[in-house]
This record gives sequence, C-alpha cells and structure tokens, in this order.
Amino acid sequence: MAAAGCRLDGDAVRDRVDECGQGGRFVAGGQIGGLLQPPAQRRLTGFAYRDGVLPYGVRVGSEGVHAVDAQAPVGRVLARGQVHGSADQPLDDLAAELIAAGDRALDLAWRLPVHEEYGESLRSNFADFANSGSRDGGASVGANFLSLPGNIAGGTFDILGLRIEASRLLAGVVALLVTLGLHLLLTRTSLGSKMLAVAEDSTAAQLMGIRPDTMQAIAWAIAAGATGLAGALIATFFYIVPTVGETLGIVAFVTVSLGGFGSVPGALVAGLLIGVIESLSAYLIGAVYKDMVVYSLFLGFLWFRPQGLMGKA
Amino acid sequence: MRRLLWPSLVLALFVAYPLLFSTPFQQRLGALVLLYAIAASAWNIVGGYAGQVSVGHVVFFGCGAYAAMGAYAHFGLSPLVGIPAGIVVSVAISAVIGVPTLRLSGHYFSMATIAVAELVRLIVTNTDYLGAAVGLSGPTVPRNVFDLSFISALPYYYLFLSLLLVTLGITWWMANSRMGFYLRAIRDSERAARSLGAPASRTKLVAFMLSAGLTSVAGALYAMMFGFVDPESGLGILISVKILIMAALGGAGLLFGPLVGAAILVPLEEISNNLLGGQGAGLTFVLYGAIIVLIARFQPGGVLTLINRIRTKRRKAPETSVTAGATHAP
Repeated sequence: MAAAGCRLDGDAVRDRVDECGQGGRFVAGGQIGGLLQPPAQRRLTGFAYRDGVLPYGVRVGSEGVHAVDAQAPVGRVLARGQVHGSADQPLDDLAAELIAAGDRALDLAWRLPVHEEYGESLRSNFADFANSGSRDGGASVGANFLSLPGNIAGGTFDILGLRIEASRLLAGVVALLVTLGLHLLLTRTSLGSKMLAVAEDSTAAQLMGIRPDTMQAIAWAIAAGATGLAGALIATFFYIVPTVGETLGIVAFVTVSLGGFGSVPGALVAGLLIGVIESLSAYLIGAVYKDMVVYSLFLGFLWFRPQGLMGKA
Repeated sequence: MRRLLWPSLVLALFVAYPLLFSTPFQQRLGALVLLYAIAASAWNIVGGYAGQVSVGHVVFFGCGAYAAMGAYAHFGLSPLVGIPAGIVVSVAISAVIGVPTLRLSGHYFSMATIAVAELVRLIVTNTDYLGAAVGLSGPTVPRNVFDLSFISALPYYYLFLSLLLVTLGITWWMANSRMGFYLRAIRDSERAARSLGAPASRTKLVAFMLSAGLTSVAGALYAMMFGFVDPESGLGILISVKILIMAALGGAGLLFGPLVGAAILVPLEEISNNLLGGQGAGLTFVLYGAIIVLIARFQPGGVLTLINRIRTKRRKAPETSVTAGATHAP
C-alpha cells in the first residue's frame, strides 16, 4: 500500500513523491473536495480554508494515497479532484492527517459537513456554499458541491499501458467533433461565410446585405452553446462550484490567443498544447506554478507573436 | 473670477464633509471615496486621456501597498518610506511591460495587462518574503504619527484629499501640456497622429509610467489605512475593474470624471453591503455589471459628459432665440 510510506508534512509534497511510491495518478492539480456520496463510495468531505495556500498535499488514487500540491485561493473550498477511500486507507484517517498537517503548518483546515449531515438545510439544485439552517451545535457553513453520479461516464480503459478515464475520453472525442463541426460551419456553409465577412469588414458586409448584428448574435449563441457543452462534459470529472468557470475561462483565453484569434484549427492545436503544458508543468515544477507558466506563455505570445500559431495577423 | 466660484464651493464642501458628517462610518466612507478617486484619476491618465484601457493596473496598486507594508514588516520603518520605493518599482515595471504591451491595440493590450497582473499576483502568492498568501501587516500600534495608523478616519480623509488635489493637479498640468495634446491626438487616431509626427510610442509610455507611479501611491495609502495587504486585496483583478468602472462611469478622459464615478460607486457599494449583509456582496457586482452595460450602451462618455450635454443644450436655447431676434430686427 503506497499509503504506508507517505508522510504528510509542511514541506512541498514534491519531495515526498518518491517516498510515497509509484503508481496511481496525481489528483487534478489543485483541489480536493467532497460531496454527498452514497456511503459505499465514501469520498472525502469538503475542506474549507481560512486563507490561502495549503502548504502540504495529499496524493490519492484508487490504489492508495498519492500526493498532490493542493492550493486553494483565499477562503475558497477545495473543489476538484477525487479522493477515494479504501479499506486500508479510510477517509477519516486521511482527513485527520490533513488537519494535523494543517495545524503544523499553522494554516487551519477543517472538515465541512456536507449534505449527509446537513441534509435538508442545504438541499438545493445548485452548487453553493450556504449557511446551514439548523443551529444545533453544528458548523455554520456547509458545502453543497454537485457532481454527476460516477456511472454516467465512469470506468477506465487500459490502452497500451495508458490508463484513460472514460469520462475524459468522452470529453476529448466530443471536443474534437465539435471543433470539426465548427470548422466546417465556418468554412463550408454560407452562414459561416457571412460571419467571417462581418468579422473582416462589417461595413462591406452590410453593403452585401449581411446584418452584422444578427451575425454577431449568432456567433455569441454558438460560442455560448459550445462552452456550455464543454462545461457539461467537464462536469463528469470535475466538481461543480459557482466559481468553476473562472479559472477555466482564463485558460480558454490563453488557448485562443495561442492558437490565433479567428482560427478554429488553431484553437484545437493550442488547446492540446496547453493541456500538455499544464499537466507537464504540474508534474515537473509543481501544480502551484502551472498557472504561472500558462500566463507567461500568454504574455509571450501577445508580445512577440500576437497572431498566435495559426491566426491571421 | 466667476469661473472659480463653483470649484471653490465644491472644494469647501469636500473640506467640510467629515466635520458635517462625522459618524465613523461616514468619515470612513468619505476617505474611501477619495482613495478610489486617486486611484481612478491615476488610471484616467493612461485609460482616459491616452485611450489605453489597462485592466491590470492593480499590479501598480499592489506595488505601492506591498512596498508600504514591506517597509514596516521587514525594515521596521514607517510605511511612508514605502511610498517612494513603491513608485520606483511600479514605474520600473510599467516601463518594462509598457514597451512590448503598448504596441498592442485595443483588447490585446487589455488582455496583456490582465495577464501581467495575474502573473504578479501568482508570484507574490508564492513568495514568502512578501507574505505569500497571508500577506503583510502594518503597524498594529502606531509608534509615532508617521506610522499613519490612525483609529479614526478623519486624518486619512484629509491626507487623501490633499493627495487627490495633487493627483488632479498633475493630471491637469499634463493634459494642458504638449504631452496632453499628443495624447488626445493619439486617442482619436493613432495612425493619423503618427503621420503628423507625434511621438506616439514614447508619449504612451510616459503616460503609462506616470499613471503607474500615481496608482502605486494610492495602493500605499490603501495599505496604510487598512493596516494590511494580501494578494487578494492588493493584487486582485477586481480592484482594477473597480477603478476602471469608476473612471468610465464618471467620464474617462475628463479631469473630474473619476472623482464623480468614485463618489457614486463607493457609497453605493458600502451602503448596499451594510443594508443587505452577506447577500449584499453579490448585489454589488450585479450593480457593477449593470452599470458597465448601461454606460457602454448609452453614454460611453460617462456621467460628466451627460451633464455637460444637458448644460450646453440649456445654454444654446436662449442664444439661438437672441440671434433669431437679431435677424428679425426691424
């Protein structure tokens, strides 16, 4: 059991990676959270942080305890990633370890009671934080993260030694299809030509009888729909919190800038690149720095190659 | 002489405000309005007069704030010492990022400034010397008057008022100088300005650096009034957005625009926070969003432009009737 050798400490977890043993995977860099789960799956309940950075980390996967650099923005509840318990590594122990490490690091952490304990007073169809209703000596804030049941797109595939989760595979395939669809829409249909015409020169397009307002509205609609689709796909392997769009929004910006504004294939290439760069940075330099790498890349491209990889100048 | 009547009255009102409205809340509100007015006026130099919409101005704000708090936390000096240090650092940063960034146009410029601000925030959040995520604190108990750590908001109010006058003075001087002339030309059409020989890049850069320095002063003052700074309150992108909206709401490119904008928005925010408690915080952002949409759609010139328009309409009416009468004179 990898867990046995793992010590949770105030130091950066990276140093502990090798001690904790191989196998398993990094939980999505950044956040650990939990939510209402059927008792059988026993996921970790949510953590709330009084402030800032969690200086230690836990690496948890299906075989046991792995480590991750966990970092939460001020006051936010850790939200993403999944921590599974097992018979040998029950979650209560893990939670206790995290809390103890927090004490040593003088950075308070406490378990949030989630749904199970606060049931009715937190019940809602929306992911949120709420002041829990009953005041019979319980915590004053509970967390209600939403997530889809694991069986919607669950399971993993083993292909040539790579473990791929079905949910992520589905997201990738759908993303490719949508990208292809958008590209075809823009290049092969008359609607797409009209939209491109408006983008290039709206006055000339008006002279041709194209209404810029309508085209822009349609473009907005398609963009919103595609983003919604992406959100729905992500929901199969991320927890849903009100702020989930924030970080992803910035990454989307960077991706488009890298790929080149106005180029759909560019966005695809850039998206793949950014995904790889993010994961590699998280693995090689630490999850804390992966955002910095992304922003630096963004700046670099804006300064030295504003048209991105495949955009028009 | 008559032209000075209104401004003198307004100034007198400002000076008298904390004495007339002397509850701690009202005094603090006034101080906050002035503080944001300083920051927004500083932004106005590059955002309004030069037309370069910088959404990452908070990085300069944070420079000043961290410099002031750092002077105390690391060297035991009064936070005032941090002000010149903050100015130097923010001017340096603005010079370094200004050269490649000012080349970009429109939204590319804005995005680049956002990226810079977020990058700096991330770096600071991970630098222990700068307090990491916990931030730096100022003097808890003032050792002498130079620590500028007062209990009541009254001294802060007058301090901010004098600095606001300085900032507005600098802005006014700049707007009426050759540089202001070039900036107006650049804002209207950079290409045309360049073709007429205006040194566009250099002028924009100077405006950017000037704006950065003044914003860092505002940041330092903010840190001194609140007694601490952390990555969220000193380098959060929300601050940039707030001062941008204040300047735009009041009238970007006008001398008193940011002041008007701050005078509208800050009380709105504080009062809604107080009235509605926890839920109120969300309402503030809804209001901000609604205001942005309204300004952008109906009155990009801001409130002051609207007022000026109404005033000129009223003034025109009697004049036309006079001339009409003249032509029909017997």
